[in-house]
Amino acid sequence: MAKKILVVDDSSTIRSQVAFSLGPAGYTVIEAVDGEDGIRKLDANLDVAMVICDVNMPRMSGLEMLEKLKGNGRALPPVVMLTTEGSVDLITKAKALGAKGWMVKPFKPDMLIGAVRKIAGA
Amino acid sequence: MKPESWGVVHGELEACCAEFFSHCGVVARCEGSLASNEPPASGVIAFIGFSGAKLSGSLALVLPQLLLEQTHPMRGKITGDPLAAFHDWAGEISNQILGQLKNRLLRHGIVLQLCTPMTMQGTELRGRVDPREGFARLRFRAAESTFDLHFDATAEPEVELSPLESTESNDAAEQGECLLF
Repeated sequence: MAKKILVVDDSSTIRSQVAFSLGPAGYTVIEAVDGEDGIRKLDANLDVAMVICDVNMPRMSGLEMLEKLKGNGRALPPVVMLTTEGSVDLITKAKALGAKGWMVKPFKPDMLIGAVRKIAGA
Repeated sequence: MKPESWGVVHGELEACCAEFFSHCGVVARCEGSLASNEPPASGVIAFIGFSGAKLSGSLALVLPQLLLEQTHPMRGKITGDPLAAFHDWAGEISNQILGQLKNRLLRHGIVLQLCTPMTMQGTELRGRVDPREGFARLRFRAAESTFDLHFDATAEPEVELSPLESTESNDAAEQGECLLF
């Protein structure tokens, strides 16, 4: 059965790009438009194998989402941040909140597929 | 901020634009500052603001639809309303260019927080001219189109920037970089 990947990004272009990259590689991609929606989608999809998450989003940022999920004490699938941000401070913060990786946009589909295979498995 | 320092900021911005479009497979060359009598532009306008203790302001891009079509990552495969897709892409372009500028300015000790972008569409668009040094209006040629970049910023007076050597290390993750922990 195809592994399920959740992409959380306020840009429909990025969500489509991620889905279009990972679909042919054998993954099922579900989408969320911000951190709040990301939490809702995780609650509704307990079989998510990995989350790809933007940082700057309206309503709830990616790091706020991580913070909230960590605060809930629930077991989380691995999270990789996909963002324009490159600041070491933010990367350190994400790592402390349990993120497993950090990718700086724009991304190449091959790089994304490689990271997903490594983290979520084939 | 001294004029030379503004030159560094505007130079970095120009480089960010060229780099972004290069990633999309399009060569973008700055043709220089927009003259006040320049013919008006048409297209999707993306606005994005930024703030910080040393530098704050906003960036606006006026992007013709043809260029948005040519550079869209899903070109030829867009589902749903194409105009909505082009607006979203225009916002993402402004976000990625400003994000790259943010990462470059970190090397100068300037920390910025970015807002989320908004977009509109218009014709007969004319930007205002402002003699302040933080203000820049640049026209770029990219593929068969031209697009305009409007940058308006204010800085704390003591802030100074010098051009960096290309060998100087960047204290930030680079565009396209993937770090797995």
